[in-house]
Amino acid sequence: MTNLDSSLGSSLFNTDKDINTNSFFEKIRDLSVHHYQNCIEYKSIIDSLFIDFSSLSSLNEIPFLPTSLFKEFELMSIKRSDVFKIMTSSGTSGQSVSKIFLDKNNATKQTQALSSIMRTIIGSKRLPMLIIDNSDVVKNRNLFSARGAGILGFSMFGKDHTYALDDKMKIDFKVVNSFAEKYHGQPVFVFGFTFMIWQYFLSELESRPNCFDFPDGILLHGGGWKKLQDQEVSNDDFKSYVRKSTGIRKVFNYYGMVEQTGSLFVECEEGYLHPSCFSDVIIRDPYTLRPLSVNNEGLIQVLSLLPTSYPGHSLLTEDLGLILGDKCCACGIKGKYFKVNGRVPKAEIRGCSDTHSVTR
Amino acid sequence: MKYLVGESVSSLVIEPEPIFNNLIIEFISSLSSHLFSIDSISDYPDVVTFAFWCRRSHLLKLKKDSCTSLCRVGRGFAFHIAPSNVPINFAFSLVFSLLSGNVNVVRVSEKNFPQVLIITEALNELLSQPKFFRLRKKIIVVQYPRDEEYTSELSSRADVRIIWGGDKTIQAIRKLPSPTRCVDINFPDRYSISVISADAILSSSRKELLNLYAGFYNDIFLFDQNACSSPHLILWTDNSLSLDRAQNIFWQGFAEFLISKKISPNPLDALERYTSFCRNSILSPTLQLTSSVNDIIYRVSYDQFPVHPEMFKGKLGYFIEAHDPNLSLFKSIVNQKYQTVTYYGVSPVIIKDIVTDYSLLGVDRIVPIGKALDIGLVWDGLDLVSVLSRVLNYS
Repeated sequence: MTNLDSSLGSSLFNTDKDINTNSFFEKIRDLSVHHYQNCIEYKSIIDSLFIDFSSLSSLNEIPFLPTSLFKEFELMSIKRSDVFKIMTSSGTSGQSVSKIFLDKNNATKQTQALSSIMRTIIGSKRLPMLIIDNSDVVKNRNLFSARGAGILGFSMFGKDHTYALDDKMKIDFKVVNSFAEKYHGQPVFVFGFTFMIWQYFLSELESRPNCFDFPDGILLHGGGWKKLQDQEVSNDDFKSYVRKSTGIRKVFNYYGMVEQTGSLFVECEEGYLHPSCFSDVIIRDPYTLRPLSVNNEGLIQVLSLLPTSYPGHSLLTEDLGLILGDKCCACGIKGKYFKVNGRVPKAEIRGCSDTHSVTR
Repeated sequence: MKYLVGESVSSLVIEPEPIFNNLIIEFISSLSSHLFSIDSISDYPDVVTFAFWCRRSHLLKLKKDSCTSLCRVGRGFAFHIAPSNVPINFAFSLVFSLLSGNVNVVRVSEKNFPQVLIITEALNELLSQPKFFRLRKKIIVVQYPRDEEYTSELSSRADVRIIWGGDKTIQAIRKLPSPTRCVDINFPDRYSISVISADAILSSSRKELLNLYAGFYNDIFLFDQNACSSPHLILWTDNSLSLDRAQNIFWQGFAEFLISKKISPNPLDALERYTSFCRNSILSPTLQLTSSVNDIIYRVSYDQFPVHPEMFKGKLGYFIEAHDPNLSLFKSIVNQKYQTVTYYGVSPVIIKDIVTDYSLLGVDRIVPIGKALDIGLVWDGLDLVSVLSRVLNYS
């Protein structure tokens, strides 16, 4: 079984692959064996693929599951009675929901990993936290979603949680101004989802530069660029808007998903995403699913050491991205660094089986 | 309700006519020439196929075959619910019904397929010509949201409902009341297979094999292996000595054909194929990946063959294979879901005899590989003109 504590000891993002790849590979392989022994569905797939874990020799050979499988099947490697928490996400298809089954142990690991990653971003102290969303997402159980879960998850790294938007998704200037005054000259933690921040915060502030002043603010945001891509807003645009209207210079995008909560990929100063010691990434050819080399765009496979209660340690996503280098990023962090280019557009499946349906 | 062709559903005049009426033949063959005159038509192989089907000489031949001494007249008002994923089928549905003498309302998908726009524009153009004025009352093409109200209003007046769709769609529409004399023609989900002789593969020339691959490609990939008549299961006949070699030649050759054609799949195709493989591994034990041919085709087999392989369909280049020298597996699995059997190197008569001799409940078509998608007046086990019309018996 993987030993998180030893991972925590090593430098978090300096995943020097020359030294660490083998140990990461071995941990992932052991984790695969664990799921093989404990999840009947995972075992069926591995058996159908004729994979013998003992004969695998590199990370590329580790089998992966499509993320959509968690929408169709309740996949877990624990007894149902040990389920402590079920996390769900709607994804983008809207209809079906991914279900992730956590036992206590797995939930704790997620928290520990997330804490250690967050320490590298905001330090070890809880900071005053400004959330660019409205509080209903968390309060109202009917609205509770992946968005709410995300906010709650990150809330433990902040204090004096303040919601910047009112229930009509308008900026509550009074609240934000008093937060700014109260913590003037102190580091603050600002969190939100990329699209929400863009749509309901930055766009509103466009006509009011220097509206807020958080010189020591740290903004962490994630959730995907799809809607911003449609509006042709780049990461650089996003950052310059943030700086213009809030004075925040430290802006970090993260790439993560409910299937691998805890092991986030976080953006460096150069604007590239880095795996931590808990995670790794492989880019695969969309047409053959074979691994691709540096600088080739393909489907993103994410690997994480955290999932023990469900077989989500090696997943093939529907996101496109590319690895830009595997030695050393200009930011100084060693190891792979990559970029996410968005989701593959869903193609219309042709055929005569699924057609007009009548709502009853 | 948006009208792509015609003006108002309420102004329909239900005047059925005898089948293969001359004006209708004139109209459909003009549609054919009109479509062929469009420059961009070659971008749409399905429209080309349709236009080819509609040419005069073909219609006259069909007329000769269909018009017996019986007097056949259209049933009246035909309401078509076209599939939302095979754009061209709305047009086939319409011309089949016109040839059968009916007045038509066709509901097409709200997705604005270029094929639908090309054909409806052509229809409008022709219907503006004075000689076809009379047909304006017979052809209406509409789009409307998935809404029961319109569907139930049109159903309540229909003499025939032609429903293309999945089982759920058909069940839902059948629940809507229609006149007691109304006939429903359903085109539900079906399952199709191929029967290939291993010996025939081994004795085929390179040219014959290339033709086979091209035909197999059309049968499967024009509709992402999602058309009812696209094969999902390959049964190999002949003895096991030649089997391995024949399979390797066929699949490797087919994969190379795909690569050489530089056919670019959608970027999620491989993931979808792999997902369908994972799903089937979970749902149907003893599934084995035989090989992933050049990582673009999945060949799977079973230790214990499932009773209902049709429940474990794959997608986008995913084939279940079995060695079935005497077609005994074929006899044991065929049920009502089975539609088309495509073959290579096997006599269709033998397959037909098995279906009849063993009283099998399924299989409606036995055609060579390459002809799986060739739709016609006999489709899905139905002689469409005879079900879309009524016999006027006199003595």
